Amino acid sequence: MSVLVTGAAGGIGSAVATVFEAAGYRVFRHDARPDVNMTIVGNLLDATTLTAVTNLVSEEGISMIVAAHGIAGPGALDTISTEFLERIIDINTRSVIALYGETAPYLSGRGGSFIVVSSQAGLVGEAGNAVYSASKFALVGWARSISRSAGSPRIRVVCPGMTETPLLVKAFEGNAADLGITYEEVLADRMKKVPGGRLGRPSEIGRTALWLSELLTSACVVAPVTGGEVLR
Amino acid sequence: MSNNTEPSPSLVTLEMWTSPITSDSLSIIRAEVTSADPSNGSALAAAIDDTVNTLNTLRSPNARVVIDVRARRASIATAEQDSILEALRGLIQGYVAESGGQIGPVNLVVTTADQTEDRDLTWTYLADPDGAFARGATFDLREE
Repeated sequence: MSVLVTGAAGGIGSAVATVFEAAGYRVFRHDARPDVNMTIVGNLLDATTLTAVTNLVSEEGISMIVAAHGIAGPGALDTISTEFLERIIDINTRSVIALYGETAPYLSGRGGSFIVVSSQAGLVGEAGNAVYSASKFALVGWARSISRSAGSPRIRVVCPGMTETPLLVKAFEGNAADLGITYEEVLADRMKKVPGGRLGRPSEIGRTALWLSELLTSACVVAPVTGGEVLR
Repeated sequence: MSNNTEPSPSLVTLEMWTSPITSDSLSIIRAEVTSADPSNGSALAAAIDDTVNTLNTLRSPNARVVIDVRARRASIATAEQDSILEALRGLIQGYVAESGGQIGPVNLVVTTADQTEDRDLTWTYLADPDGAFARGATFDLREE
């Protein structure tokens, strides 16, 4: 079986790709940034890139997509610019929906699934991270709704908690700047709220995506993998 | 929690079992919703008490525990069933939040009786070395 992973140059996306490869899948990688092993590079809201991705899905018999791309969006609501707000929504939300719109017929025709990587910030809003939360909440709401559409592929959402990725570091640095404290203080404060007592590993998100892809249920399964910090 | 001197009818019956797929690496508590009346406060209290007592027998930082509820499809579920499912969800969330690092992962899995393959896949995931960061979660796999 073949799977396309977007955001495959990132911490979670690369781990997802590695886990699926280890499970025997043929893995195609996409990212907005050039990087080693990428099959396609480009912005998914760019028509040329989206067409190339759709052609890849069609021609390579891809039956599964893991949409793992996204950007951090730290910033208090009264400081965040309209341009940055639009960029967060474009990348984290609109591009996922656009990708689904073009590829869903191929996935459903092959009995496949579309797996969205949201966030624990897509389950509970976070101070200093409200726009990012909105972008990830939007994915959860969209996924739940689209899964009820006749003929849709299986829809899954994984909501990672704090995971050791460059995106997390960037988000915490932004929080620290907004709050006037150090990165280490932000991390220590956040860890107090995690019953599991540690950061998640990217491979744990990859394993979750693999499990979600294997499930037969037609229900939209939303999986919080947060160390117990955020539940639903 | 304290033991009742006079047992009340409980909204759930609990049974420990081990999946041959995951062996001892995952403790599974099968929770079956009974026909007790959920408006009977003592029946709901007994269900909570029984569940906590069972969880406490497995209390260890290294233990991975799942509560396995077989239920009707969400679209035909009864108010009684929804009530106890939400009670278990809330209980487990509170249990995980309260216990911190004193316990390992505890999660709730809800399926219909015929979802054998999805249950097996889920036990395999939760017992995997990379399946331990989900804690206090409810995985409702029922068809709509």
